[in-house]
Amino acid sequence: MVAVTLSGLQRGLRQSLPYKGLRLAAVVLLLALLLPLLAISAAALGGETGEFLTVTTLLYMLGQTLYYVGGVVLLSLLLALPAAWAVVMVDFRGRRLATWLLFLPFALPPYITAYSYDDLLRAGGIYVSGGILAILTTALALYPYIFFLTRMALKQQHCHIQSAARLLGCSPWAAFVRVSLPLARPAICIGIALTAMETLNDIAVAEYFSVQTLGVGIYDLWLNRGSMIAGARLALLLTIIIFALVWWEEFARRRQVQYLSVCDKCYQCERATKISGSKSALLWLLIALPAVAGFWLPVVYLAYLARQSWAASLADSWQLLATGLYGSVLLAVLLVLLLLVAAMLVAMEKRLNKRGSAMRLLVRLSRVIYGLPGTVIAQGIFIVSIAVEFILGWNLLAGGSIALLLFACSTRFYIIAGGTIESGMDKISPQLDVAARLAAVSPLARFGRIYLPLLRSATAATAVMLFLEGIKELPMTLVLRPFNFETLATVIYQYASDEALLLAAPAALLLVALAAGAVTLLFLFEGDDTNNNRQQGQRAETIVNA
Amino acid sequence: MSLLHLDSVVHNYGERRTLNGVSFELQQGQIGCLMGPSGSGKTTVLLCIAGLEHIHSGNIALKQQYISSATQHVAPEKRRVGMVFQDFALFPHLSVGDNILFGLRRTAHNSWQRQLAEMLELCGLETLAEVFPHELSGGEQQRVALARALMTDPDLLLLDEPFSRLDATLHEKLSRQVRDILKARKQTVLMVTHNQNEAFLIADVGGVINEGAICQWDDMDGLYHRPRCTFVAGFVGDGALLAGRMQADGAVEGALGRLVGESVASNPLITAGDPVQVLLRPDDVVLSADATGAADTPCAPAIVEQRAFRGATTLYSLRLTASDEKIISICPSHVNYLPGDRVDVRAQVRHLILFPALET
Repeated sequence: MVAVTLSGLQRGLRQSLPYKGLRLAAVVLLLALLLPLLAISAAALGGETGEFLTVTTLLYMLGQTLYYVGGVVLLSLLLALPAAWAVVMVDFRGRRLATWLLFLPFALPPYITAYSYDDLLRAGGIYVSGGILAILTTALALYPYIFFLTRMALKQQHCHIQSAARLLGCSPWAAFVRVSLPLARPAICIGIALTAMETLNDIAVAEYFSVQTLGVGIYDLWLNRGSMIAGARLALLLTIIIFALVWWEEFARRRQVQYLSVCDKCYQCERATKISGSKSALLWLLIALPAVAGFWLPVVYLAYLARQSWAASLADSWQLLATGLYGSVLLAVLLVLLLLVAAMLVAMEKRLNKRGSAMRLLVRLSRVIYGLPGTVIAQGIFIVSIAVEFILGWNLLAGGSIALLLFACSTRFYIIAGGTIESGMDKISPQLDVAARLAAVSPLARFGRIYLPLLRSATAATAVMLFLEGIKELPMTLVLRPFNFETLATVIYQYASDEALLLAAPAALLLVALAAGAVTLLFLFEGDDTNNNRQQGQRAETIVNA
Repeated sequence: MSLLHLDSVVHNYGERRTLNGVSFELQQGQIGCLMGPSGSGKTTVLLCIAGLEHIHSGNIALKQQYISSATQHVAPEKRRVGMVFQDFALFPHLSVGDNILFGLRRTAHNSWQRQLAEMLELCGLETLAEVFPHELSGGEQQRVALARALMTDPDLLLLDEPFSRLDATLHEKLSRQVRDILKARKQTVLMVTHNQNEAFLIADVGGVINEGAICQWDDMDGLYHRPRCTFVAGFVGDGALLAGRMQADGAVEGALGRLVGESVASNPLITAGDPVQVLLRPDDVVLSADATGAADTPCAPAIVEQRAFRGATTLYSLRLTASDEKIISICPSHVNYLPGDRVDVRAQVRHLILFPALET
């Protein structure tokens, strides 16, 4: 009955003008997100036939990329899986604190971890090969992706599944290996795909340690050797690899739906085995390893360098620091505002208009863009701006505004906003629309009185995530920032490239402080999620009645 | 000697006491059933026996070995206790065959293939070994969960409301099938349910639990015909309590006249002349039109307040005109009265169940 009413309601809505406008706006927005990809493809498929790398160089780059990405994924798994098991399956003193500590390395961009370790090891006279150090430092910064998703998957598993395994003769560890881990496999696969994509996105660490990855290759071909066509061709190759990774991730997600089995009380069910004393201390050691190595060690070292830098009273660097802070916050805040509006627009369109297959394809493609490295997107935007200059005579690059940079960042990070807001919108019962419509609540009022209040936590979490990505972003900013515009990330990169980490330390510390605050907020939101879910139904009812 | 023995088991969830001195025992091969309303602590009893919860005091013994006490706790995997969960808890990543074999060590030397085939046949799952749990119906899932639990040949099988997720038609059919399977294997079972019909279908013995304490542990006939307190009387079967006064000859004088039963389940505290409450089951109360052959029994006028049509029968809620007390009566559905109709009722009591009158 409800389905019939809803169908009739949507049919009526689709015929009205504001909804057609909403659809048009959403289509334009999603097409704009795809512009860089289209530009790269056009540039790569056009141009001279022979303009590309030699097979040997290409194979070498592919090998280096595989070595780097494979190493990072493997090490991230080794760091994340035992930690996720410990914080979900074992009850020990300070478990919540341990979880927060394990989240914290997410606040450190891989390039800061890499610069800190390299400097620290050099100061200690320890030699480690560049490739190994690149893998180690990137994994320390990226393992939280796998940790976070695995932990969520383990937490959501039905408590009876574990109990059933125990009663069938499994010890707690055997139950984890035979049941919990296979059930968490789809989430782990998604974590692996995200880690791999972020590793491919990196150019700073790979370039710093002279690892010739595809990302570095694009940057080098395009900006150092001035061959845009060859760069675009390499970018297209990388895009195809990313497409494969995204497909794999989606495949894993599809199977996850089948595997997911959550009981209403699961968040309250306490399945963890209680330990204390020496066992608890040993577990803390296991958890402390990635947390200390991934966050506290580089941060303490940066603080030590920043103190030295302060003592040296380097006036120029402080001015640059202020400029960088202003640029980072401006970019992050604008990104948050722009993407929240865009995501709300698309989510509203999805809710009010029945989505056609063309629209579904656009949304799917917008997801793929997230997987593309920043360098590829920056190159795509660069090509688009050249095309605009050629056709319309407008020089966007020389305009001196951060609009192009903002556009590039929005393209890459749209999925964070779109995904979270859309999934929040999906959780709102369609019956609320019927109730509101019958109570003669206009669509605009519905947005303000129903959707926004119910999306409050999703919006807050999205804002924090976008802010975090905005202040950590480096590759696109490096390429597309206007003259005299700096962010903390570019300041750090410039100093670190000149092997002057002492001067980069204050900016790195400031960036880490901002990011750590954002990570802590995200951690707190996640803790509140259970309450929010429970209260949502009650709140929705109150809102409609009001 | 009993197979399972619970002695004064106390369990707390944080500050809240969930089990308050639970004691009962179960003999080898018996099917026991613990009944009680939601939140009465019946599932907690199962979790404590399974070792998934620690007890605060008292002790639990299985085959004369202590498995739980305040100081001792045998791990769940070492108790030889099987369990079928309310939601079946099948492993979604494993096929039916792999689910059933989960608890069995598979080696080249043992006969796991033959055991699997036998178990599939016993539970009527012969064609479903390769199928995954999400492809099964509710009844099939239930039988897979049962087969998985039985495969390890546990000393005791625990069933946590195993039929609550099934529809009414399947419910009765499966209850009988499950009882046949369990009896064929001489399996000792403890089941919990809030559904008394389920308990009557399956169990040999049973108990009623309320607010963490066992009110009565008895055979199923005893729970229905000899309830020890008004809670058990109200929970097991329908009924209404009618005020009366105990007579020296064992009869009770009340609003429905003199009530005499073939047997009397009396309370030792009740003596002649005491005010009492008499439990009247709906089949003890006959509307006058049907009270043929009992003309010597006095009638009392009553007003029909509600009627609940149940197909073959109709349940009437009645108010006695003289005393304003409420009683219920079950009649064949062709006897048709409407709310507000005036009728005559008479009692035909076989088992007289008495409780001391409540102090006012």
